[in-house]
Amino acid sequence: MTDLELAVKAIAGDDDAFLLLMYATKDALFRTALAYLKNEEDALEAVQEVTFRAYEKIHSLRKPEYAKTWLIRIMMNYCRDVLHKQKQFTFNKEALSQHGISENYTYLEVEEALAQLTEAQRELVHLKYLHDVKIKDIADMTATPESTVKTRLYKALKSLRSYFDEKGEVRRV
Amino acid sequence: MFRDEEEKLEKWKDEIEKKEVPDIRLEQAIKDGFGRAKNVQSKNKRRYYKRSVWSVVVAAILLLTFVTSIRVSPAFASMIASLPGMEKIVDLIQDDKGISSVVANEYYQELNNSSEIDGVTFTLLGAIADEQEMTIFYSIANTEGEERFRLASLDVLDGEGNRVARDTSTIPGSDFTSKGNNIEQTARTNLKFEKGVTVNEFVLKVTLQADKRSIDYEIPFTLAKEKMPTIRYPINETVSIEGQNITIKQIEISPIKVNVHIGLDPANTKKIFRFEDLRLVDDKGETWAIITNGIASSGSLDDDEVIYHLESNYFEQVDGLSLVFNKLMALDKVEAHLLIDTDKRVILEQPADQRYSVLQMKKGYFEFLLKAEKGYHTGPFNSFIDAEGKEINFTSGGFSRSEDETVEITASFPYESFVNPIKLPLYGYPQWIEGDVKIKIK
Repeated sequence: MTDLELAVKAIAGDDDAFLLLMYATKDALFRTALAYLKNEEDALEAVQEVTFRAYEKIHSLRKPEYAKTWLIRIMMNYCRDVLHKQKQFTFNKEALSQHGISENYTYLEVEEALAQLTEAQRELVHLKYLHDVKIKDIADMTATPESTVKTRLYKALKSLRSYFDEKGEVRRV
Repeated sequence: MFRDEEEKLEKWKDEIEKKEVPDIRLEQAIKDGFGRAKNVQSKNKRRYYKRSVWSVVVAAILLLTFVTSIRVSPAFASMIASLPGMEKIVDLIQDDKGISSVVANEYYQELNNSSEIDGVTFTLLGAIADEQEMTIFYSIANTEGEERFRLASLDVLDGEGNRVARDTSTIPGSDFTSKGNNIEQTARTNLKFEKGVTVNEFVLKVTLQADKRSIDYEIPFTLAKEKMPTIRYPINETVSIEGQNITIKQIEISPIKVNVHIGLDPANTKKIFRFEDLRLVDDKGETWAIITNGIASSGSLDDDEVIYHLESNYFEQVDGLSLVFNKLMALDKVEAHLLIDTDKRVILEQPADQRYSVLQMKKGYFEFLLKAEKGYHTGPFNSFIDAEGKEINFTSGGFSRSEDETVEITASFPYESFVNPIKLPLYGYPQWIEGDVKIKIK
């Protein structure tokens, strides 16, 4: 069965299809959670929560061809909520010292830069560069004109650039 | 233009993808989340059903009632089941007293015309036909694999290939395990004859669809039994409930169902959404109710005319028959809409008792909460009219009861531009008027 067929059946209420769809998307969901939350335990919990939320909401998904991206967006929403709460209620020293995914310099630099973006910008960058979702599809899925998506992405990249440039300057100084 | 940035992002992605995924724990997390969702669902005794499009609501109010109790007596069901060839159709008829009675009165015609293609057998088990309608019973058995097939299309043609009936509803039965542990599914489909159809020889054209393939069948069949004529009772009696005038125009009794033609006075101050308990009652107190599985009523609320479909008592010897009703779902016409602004994400106008609240309003869809007691399960809207008067249908709607007193209602917008605020005419609301009406038929 293709992912599209799975999604169609899952929307129609087929539990088996829903689970298969979740399995087919699990790597992408896990990696998204990891990129936001920085540790495996939280990411696993996130996958559980997103499964729960997705099951409750899948009937409202209108475009089965974007089921995977829809799931990823639920994940991003969830992760943002979690990060918000962490910021609000605790100053988590442990979180600061967590190493997350990689020690690679570029990775850390990009992560820092991404953290400066607005939530919508970060979501866009994730979809485009981590999950390779086409601009056309993002536009279609969010009912936004393609040109608007392009402009937003352009702005996001521009603000990444200025962050990189700034950092570069600081280092040079 | 952003080559450096894109390269960095590419490296960032590579690093993320290098990270090993804990497959087993991940699958467990999915199962846990799924288990929790199922648990919540059953705890709330959530009756959730979904229609692909709500627009059918205007043309025909579908009452998708889940039949949990067997309404036909068990003795009767087992009597039918003991007749040769009938065991498969028992569960297809026991939700409808009228159809059961048709079968018990030997008006059911057994056919058992089968066709096997690629290991999948479609069997036309039998049919019932009256002047206006036909109900066919069939089964689908996959003798080779585990694929499940669903009905993709169904047409009844005459010998020349013209369509003579259109399907109105399909009611699935339960699965049977037949030889070699293969699953056999059964269902019945109700069809309405086109006007002026007199032939008795038909061809059933069916397409079955599984995940990866579809199969077409053509099964000829002949109806040998004479079609019993419809009995018509002109009534033309107007009654009033809480000041709302309702005219019972005519009642037609045919073997498959009873049609009650009802006119609503355009001068009524309330919009009457539904007759909750319209029924036929005889002198012994036996009742024939609104059909619960299939189309309960047709006609448009906006045209002040509606036809209700009741179980048939065509074959019963009844003494004294009356049409009775007590409870109507109704709301003041001036209140019967929502006015919402999807940009500001607010409900601007709603009925005076303020039962609606916004749970979520997003670009493509919204989720409302509606305070409604148990027993309310009517999809409330199917389209909206934007500020410039353009009427647009919602692409899908959902209805689920999350708590005892609350219903969650979702609707999705099509990809079409519209101007706020938008008006949603209501086709259901948890308010009722009550009275005591009994109209003698014979």
